[in-house]
Amino acid sequence: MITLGVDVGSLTGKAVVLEDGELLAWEVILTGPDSVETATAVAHAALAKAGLALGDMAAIVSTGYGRIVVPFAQRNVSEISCHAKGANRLVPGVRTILDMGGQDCKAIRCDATGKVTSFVMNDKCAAGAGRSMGIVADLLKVRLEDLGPLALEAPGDGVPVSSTCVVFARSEILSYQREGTAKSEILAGACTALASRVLGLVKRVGLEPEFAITGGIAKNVGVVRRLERALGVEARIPAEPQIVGALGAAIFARELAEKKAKRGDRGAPARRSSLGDGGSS
Amino acid sequence: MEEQLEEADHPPLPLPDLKVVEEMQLGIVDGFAEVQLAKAQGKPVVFSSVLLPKEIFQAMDVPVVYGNVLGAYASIFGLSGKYCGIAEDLGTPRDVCAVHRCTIGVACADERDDFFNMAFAVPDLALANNFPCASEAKSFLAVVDKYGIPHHVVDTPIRSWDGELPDHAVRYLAGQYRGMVAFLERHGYRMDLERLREEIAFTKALNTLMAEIEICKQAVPAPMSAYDSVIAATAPLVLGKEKRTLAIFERLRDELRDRVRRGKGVVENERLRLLWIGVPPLCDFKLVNYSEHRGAVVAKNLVELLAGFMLDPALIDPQYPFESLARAQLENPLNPPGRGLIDYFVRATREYRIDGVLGAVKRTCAMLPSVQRLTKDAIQRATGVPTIIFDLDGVDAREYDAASTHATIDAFLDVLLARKEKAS
Amino acid sequence: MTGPARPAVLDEFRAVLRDPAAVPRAWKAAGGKVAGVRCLFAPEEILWAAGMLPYPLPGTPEPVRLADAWLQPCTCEFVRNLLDHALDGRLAFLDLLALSNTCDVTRRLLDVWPQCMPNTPVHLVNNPQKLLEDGNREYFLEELRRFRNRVEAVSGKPVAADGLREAIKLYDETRALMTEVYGMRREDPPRLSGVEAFVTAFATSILPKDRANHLLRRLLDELRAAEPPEGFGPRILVTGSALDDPALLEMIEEVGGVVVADDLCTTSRWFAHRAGTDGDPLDALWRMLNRRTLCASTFPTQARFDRILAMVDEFHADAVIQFNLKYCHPFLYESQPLRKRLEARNIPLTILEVGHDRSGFGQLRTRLQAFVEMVEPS
Ligand code: SF4
Ligand code: SF4
Repeated sequence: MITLGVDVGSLTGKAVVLEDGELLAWEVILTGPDSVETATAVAHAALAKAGLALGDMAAIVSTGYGRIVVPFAQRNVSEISCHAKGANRLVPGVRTILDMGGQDCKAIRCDATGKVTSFVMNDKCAAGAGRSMGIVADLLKVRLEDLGPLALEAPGDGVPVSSTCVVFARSEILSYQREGTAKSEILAGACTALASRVLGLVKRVGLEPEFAITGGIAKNVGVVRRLERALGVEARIPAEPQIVGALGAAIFARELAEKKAKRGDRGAPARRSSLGDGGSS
Repeated sequence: MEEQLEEADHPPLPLPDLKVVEEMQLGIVDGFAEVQLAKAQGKPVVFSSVLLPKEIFQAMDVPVVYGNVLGAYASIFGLSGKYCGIAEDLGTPRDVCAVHRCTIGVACADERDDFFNMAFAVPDLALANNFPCASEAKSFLAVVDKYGIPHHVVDTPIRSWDGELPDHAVRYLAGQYRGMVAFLERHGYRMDLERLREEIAFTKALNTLMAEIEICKQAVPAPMSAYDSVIAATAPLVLGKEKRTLAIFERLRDELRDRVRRGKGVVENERLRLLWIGVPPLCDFKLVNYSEHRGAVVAKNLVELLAGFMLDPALIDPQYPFESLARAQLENPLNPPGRGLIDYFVRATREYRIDGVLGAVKRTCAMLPSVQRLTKDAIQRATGVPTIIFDLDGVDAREYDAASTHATIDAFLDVLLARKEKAS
Repeated sequence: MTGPARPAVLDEFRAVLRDPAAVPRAWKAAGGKVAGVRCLFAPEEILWAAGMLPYPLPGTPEPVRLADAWLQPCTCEFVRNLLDHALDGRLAFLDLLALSNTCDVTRRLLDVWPQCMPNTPVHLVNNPQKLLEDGNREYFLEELRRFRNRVEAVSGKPVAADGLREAIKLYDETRALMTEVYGMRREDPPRLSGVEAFVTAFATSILPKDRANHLLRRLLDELRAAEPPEGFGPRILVTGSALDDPALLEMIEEVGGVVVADDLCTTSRWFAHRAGTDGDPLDALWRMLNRRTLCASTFPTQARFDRILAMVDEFHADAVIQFNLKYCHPFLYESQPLRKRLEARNIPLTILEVGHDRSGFGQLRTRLQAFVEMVEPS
């Protein structure tokens, strides 16, 4: 049984092809202006790698902020459920997941099957982790991927950077630069600030080992090390932290296909439209 | 006590300008410590809002932890980020009052900084009060939940009536205060009405003295710094009803009178006088003195009202203690709607010969920001003095931005100085 | 659009929601007077007895434009939105604004509203915030008397005891009918969706009650006759502040939740208690209002938690969503204690802080969907 998971995020689109639960192929592309096109392109790219076509899929599930518009998906599942499901597969025994994506951050707790038991989503500003680190990298003219290692060069927590708001942080960073503070110190400060911002999320959801970090920022060792230090646990980073959501979606697709097979393909019960007319649906 | 503060890993309290206020500050710190003593003696400690009548506590010898005062001190000590964070981790939404998030953080923390180890004791009872805002009325819920303690709420009507204060309102609030007494009596305290009368007579004497101090403070150049005014306003909460307390305020009055006679101001060349009508920058108290480098002094500050001090002595009749307290509270300028506060600020603008008004808007307060525009208009109409309204969360250090605040104040000072030049 | 046909009378309620102000405008056109009401403690019965149409002011989900000049952007968007309506002339038909002593911003309207609509008198019923107390009777009755006097002056009509009793009777009937409608959501699946119940309650609050009662009776008949709608997914209770926009409930039901009960200013709070017509009618109103511990600006708070827990049981809710309008302080302070009480009973809760202008709805959808997926049995 082959299934497909498509994750349409704000920065990247991801697709994962699974065969009987085994990873067959995956792909990551940058998100274009049109979510439908992004979804289609990334799905085809991943399928091409496996030499398959949409028609070969037993089921397709979409996730990510563009999940609702993916035309070829039978179901959409929130990225929170998908991240838990995917992390459960990649990091066996995981119970707490911190996902730091481009648009937002979430801390998720799940059970042994990867089902979410509670979650917290950042509700503060547009200060999405990925985006704010992008801004910092731009300001300091370093490549995003060098940011983490550079930050580790500073011995301590770096210079204090406002932890709430990118707008504040921006003016602070500019003035540090004017004062001639070393880049590594500023970067360390920015990583500390980001770590302390997401720390609260993890605390609120309640930390239980195993602890995993997913999403783009998981690749930033500057942030990861500081989080580990503050939480006193080691973070497990899946090999490809970006595709966790799409993988989860593909697993959900498999469950969906199995259920369908059992029911004799009656299809999922149609959700009642909430307002007969005049409503938004 | 001083040593203890110096050892702490947070900045010490700012140093007052006047010697006698420094004494007050030490007295306050000592006063805070008394709650530990009482706790050790097995007396039930009450967690309360500072805006309930302290006379009742004092007449009944009730040891009190003033939650919102400790919250304010957390910010003054530079610890607001830490204690707000603790409250938020416990589930307090970040959009509620920063002072009260500090309060919840201090009250519910597992470990506290030195100052709070001294000033905070685990409460056995809680009292709350819906005056003047929702935060006062509701932040105590977290504390009650944490310690599972009996609690009681005092309901203060707002002053919605035109004209004279109606009797039904005075009777109702007086009844609420009697209910507060009954609650405390149920938990082992006893009210001696004679002592309450004495306490109220004392407040009256103190407030009369404070009114004289106010008149000194109105002098040009301003003889008392903004920080000193805050300490002096907080002092009566913790300093007991003793001759010593009256004496110390008499000394303050005399020192101020002396300064006025000598024409000595807090700044050398006073050029501008400012009125601060928003929540003051507790986490960076230097900011109220910031304008001084340009000869501008904050002559009057809202916080003096927030400390609940200026109950009008004319409304206090010790023969009718509960009714007096009720009247004074209902007529307190802080009591909504905004008319009281607006009139108070218009009067202050005149009496203090204010040149410009600083209207800081604290994001997490619904009560004060919603009256600032009206205050601005009223002051403008009555006196022609301009007001600047600007965003400033000076309580939660994580949301505080000194640089942009300085820039705003500087720009306003430029305008005021230009106005002054043109006028002369 | 599958599923059985829905009662036709719902269309009439939906029509009210599309343009609520059409109701007071029509009343006005027929020569009547209109009083804007905010919130639960300025009794509509007194206004109705004086021949006025009480109009519980609803907002519109759009960004605030004019009101920011009067109330800072860090205050409740719902109130600022209402002030927008006052400033741009959309409420020009008001003859009176009747306020209650509730949250900081609502009380502030006593200062601000006269600046925005100088010709509309404003009266605030200074209700005690501490309820369930016999001790507030004398005070509260005096406030009700003062309100009656003001209403008489504005309407030009005396409010006699008999007329007031009639008004109470009418309103009690509305409240009883609404309770019956809401009771149909106890069933599994509920006989009407969360959005349908909301639309009914909200429209009924706007309509003149004689007309509303007529429609409600029809609705009950039609509901009894109709097939229940399909209702899969977890049963959800929504509690929170002033929700005047069905969009949030629509979203919950679109992602698979079934809203089986709601505890909101705009819905079940206003019909939760009945006054009865025994004895002096003002006294009867006092008895009813003294039980309205439903607003987060009233005490004891525990009474509100008890009600939410009782509703969870009565409506067999699997999970609770606490909906807060951004910067709604009285309700925000309840999030933490509410979570504690629900956790003790193993009932999942999610807390939302939502902009009145639907800002941030994208992320909201993800949160709601994840929440529904979380409580759904797998
Ligand atoms: S008035 Fe504002 S700043 Fe003061 S306690 Fe209330 S909410 Fe906080
Ligand atoms: S939503 Fe909250 S802040 Fe707004 S009017 Fe209602 S109670 Fe007040």
